[in-house]
Amino acid sequence: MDILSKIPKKSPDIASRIIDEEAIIISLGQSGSGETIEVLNFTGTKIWELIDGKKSVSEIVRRLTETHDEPGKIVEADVVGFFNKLLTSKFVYF
Amino acid sequence: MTQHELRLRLARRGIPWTCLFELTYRCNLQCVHCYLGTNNPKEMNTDEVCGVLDTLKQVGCISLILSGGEIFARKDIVKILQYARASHFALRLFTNGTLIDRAMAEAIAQVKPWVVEISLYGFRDVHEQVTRVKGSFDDTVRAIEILRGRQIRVYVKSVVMKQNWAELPGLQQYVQRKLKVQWRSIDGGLQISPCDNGSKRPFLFRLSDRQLEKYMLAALTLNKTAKRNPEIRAAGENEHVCGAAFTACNITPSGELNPCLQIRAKDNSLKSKSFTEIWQEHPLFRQLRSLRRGDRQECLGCKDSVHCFLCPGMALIERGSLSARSPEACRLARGWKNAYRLLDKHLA
Ligand code: SF4
Ligand code: SF4
Repeated sequence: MDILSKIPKKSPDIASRIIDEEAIIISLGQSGSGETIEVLNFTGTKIWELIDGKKSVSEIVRRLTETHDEPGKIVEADVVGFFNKLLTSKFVYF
Repeated sequence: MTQHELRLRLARRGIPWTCLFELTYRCNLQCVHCYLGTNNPKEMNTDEVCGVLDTLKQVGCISLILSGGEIFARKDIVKILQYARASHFALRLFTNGTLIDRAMAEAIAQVKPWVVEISLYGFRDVHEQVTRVKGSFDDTVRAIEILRGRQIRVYVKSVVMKQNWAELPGLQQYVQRKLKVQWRSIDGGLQISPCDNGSKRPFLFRLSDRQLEKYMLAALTLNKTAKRNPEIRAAGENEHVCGAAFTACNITPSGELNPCLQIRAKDNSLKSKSFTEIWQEHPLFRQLRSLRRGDRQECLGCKDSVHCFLCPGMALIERGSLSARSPEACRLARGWKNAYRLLDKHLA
């Protein structure tokens, strides 16, 4: 799936906090399914903070590239991989 | 990461994972065993409650239990729920369910609670003997059905008392098979606390030793997969006794911060001191945080400890010390030990 042009939104079925630059996300898994808890690393937390329901994934990549030394393509691959994980955990949706 | 790991990770940074926030002591039922005294303190208004939620969010607390009294007796409850949701808490609602109609269930569904926990004390006659309100059984059951219909996770729990122990295994089956929601009271409902005003009247409803053993055996037989609490079993002498002032706290309707429902502090108003000041500096909070299992001198070498859920709050009430042996905890631990022994015999 080409997700670069998509606009990610945080799921309403989560609880979250950012503590000491780490995002803690809990999926509240309604009826039946259990909870999933993730603690994001520094970059993951930066991405999490950039998800506002308005920016597309490519816009998020662009913002990150501004503050990263790595070439844009590497950042892009990492961000896409990261979003695929967030999707699997149902922390975000498009 | 498991919830247990997250609790510890936060606690090591001095952050409470959860807060049990009592929004009101008003209630439309009059349960015989209720630990709340008769005095209703001045409740915080909506803005003040939201201010406390801001504070909890700011200190890093994630799990929020809204409890009463009866939370739906507050006229501003929907506003509070919406504010809590917008603050990204994992919300647990404790309620008797009787005030939840379809419109309220819709409002609850909108805020996506983690779980709604509802108390049921027996089938109709026994339940209403306990709540002392006619029609309360049907109202509670209706709420459970409406919430389940809205895909909201519901747990039903109970308190094990003289009035209801014999029918609780049957009630559990009814809850699981007919109401199709989870039952959450295999052992948690056995601790009956005194009233906040010091009255020990609720102790009248504690089971006798013989009743305890019979109830525990019936509960274990019904819940074949139930195991001795592994967290208790694996606990070392150097571990915290419980979560009070470590992973958890309590806030009263008038804004006092306590280590736990069972342990009420003094000089602890959030109106005159900050959360952090009380949480970090209050002597009772510090004492609880430094308490380790090995500090319970009277419990050292106890052979029943594997079955024991010693609550320091109960020890304080019964014996005047957070680290004392609690006679009621000993009695319950003995009961479980005997029940397991009998169960093993039956299974052999
Ligand atoms: S064990 Fe007792 S004091 Fe500790 S958190 Fe539980 S109820 Fe509170
Ligand atoms: S309270 Fe009683 S049963 Fe529990 S560990 Fe202490 S002595 Fe043993």
